[in-house]
Amino acid sequence: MGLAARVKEINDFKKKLIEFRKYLNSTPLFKELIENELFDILLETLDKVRDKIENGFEREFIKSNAIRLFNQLIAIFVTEISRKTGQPEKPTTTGFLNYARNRIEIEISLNKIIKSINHKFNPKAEFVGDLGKKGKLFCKTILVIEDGKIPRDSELKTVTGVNKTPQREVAKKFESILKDVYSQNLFEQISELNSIENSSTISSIEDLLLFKRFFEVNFVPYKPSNGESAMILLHQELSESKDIYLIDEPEKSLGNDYINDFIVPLLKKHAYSGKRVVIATHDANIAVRTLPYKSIYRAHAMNCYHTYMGNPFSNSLVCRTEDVDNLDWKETSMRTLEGGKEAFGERGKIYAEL
Amino acid sequence: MLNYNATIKREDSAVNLILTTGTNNYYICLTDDNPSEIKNVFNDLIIELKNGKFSFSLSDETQDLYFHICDEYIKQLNAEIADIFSQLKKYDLVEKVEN
Repeated sequence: MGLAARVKEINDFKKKLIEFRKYLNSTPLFKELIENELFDILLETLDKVRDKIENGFEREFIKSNAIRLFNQLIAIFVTEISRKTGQPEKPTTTGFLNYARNRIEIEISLNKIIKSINHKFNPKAEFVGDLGKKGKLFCKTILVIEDGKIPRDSELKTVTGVNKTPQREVAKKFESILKDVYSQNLFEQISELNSIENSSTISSIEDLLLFKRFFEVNFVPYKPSNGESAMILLHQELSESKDIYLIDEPEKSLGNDYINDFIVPLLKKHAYSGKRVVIATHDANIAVRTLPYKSIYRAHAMNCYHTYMGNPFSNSLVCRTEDVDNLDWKETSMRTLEGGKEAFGERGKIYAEL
Repeated sequence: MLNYNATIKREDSAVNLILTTGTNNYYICLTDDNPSEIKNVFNDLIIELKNGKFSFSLSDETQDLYFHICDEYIKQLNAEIADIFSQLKKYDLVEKVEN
């Protein structure tokens, strides 16, 4: 390892040590766990190590810079002698070292880029919802990095929105640059890379990312219908834990079976756990089977609306703002809500049990 | 580490330092300024270095100016080759394991 590299490594180590000490002090739990005495010994030891490293760093820094300054001094002497005598400078290097270093650096960078390009991601499948007899619906995401070999007509889309053509051309070019890293054609290849149209839009590996997202049932791609999409969305929203749920006509595009089997149980579960669930609905299954604590009914009257509140337990709907007659909850619900007599039949059973 | 031969070829038209590595001969012209050719030689030397460390020894009987220049050049080149080989090893760019 060169002297400059040693100095850098010592400095990095010193920084990490100081960070670790700060971290120890900022974590009371650690102090509590290992007890005060041991904690103090640890800090004292770390301080001793830091002092040693600081001395070592100083020594290495002086050594490294002494050599650098000495070489600089020689270079100045050589230049001055050459200037005074009018004789050309005697070369102190063959040029091979700097030349090879530059090329090696380019190869290292190219290897890093190509290794990243060749990285393979495992497809990710997220459970979306249960489609009953059809099976479980998953949302699958395929993520790949453009390596120049992906067909032009693939359904993959770019992640960062860059055009696919420069993506493909740039990705392909790195391989050919690597082949020419130790040849005279290297800079020609780099110029070709820079001359690719819109190549400047690709500034990191992230710009080479491509993805495809699709639904899958039993490992076969599947396109959900509008109704199924609504089901999935609603199921997902209701599955997330929130304090308040505001739901507007969840029955839209959904079948009665799905409402009864999946949505009503979820709504009940949230209601039981003390969450506030406000639903605007025309569906009797939801309005009755979810056991609402409060029903709000808004009725059209002469040039105005009346708002009634009530519940199935009292079987009445009361308007508190206007002096109008109370309404019968069951009769109004039967008249307004869709869903047949089944829900109301069950209502009788449910409320009788309560 | 392999030790290869370096010779000086003196001709009326040009004087060349010839670096011989196995079956390959690399020419460095001492009487003409051609950086492009030198770069080609350097490129080939780096590729050869990936197969293992080597150095050059100058074999020449004539004690003239070319000999002294080449002797200095080979000494310096050997030091730089050793440095570059250690870097290739450090970054895992050596293809064959060093003997």
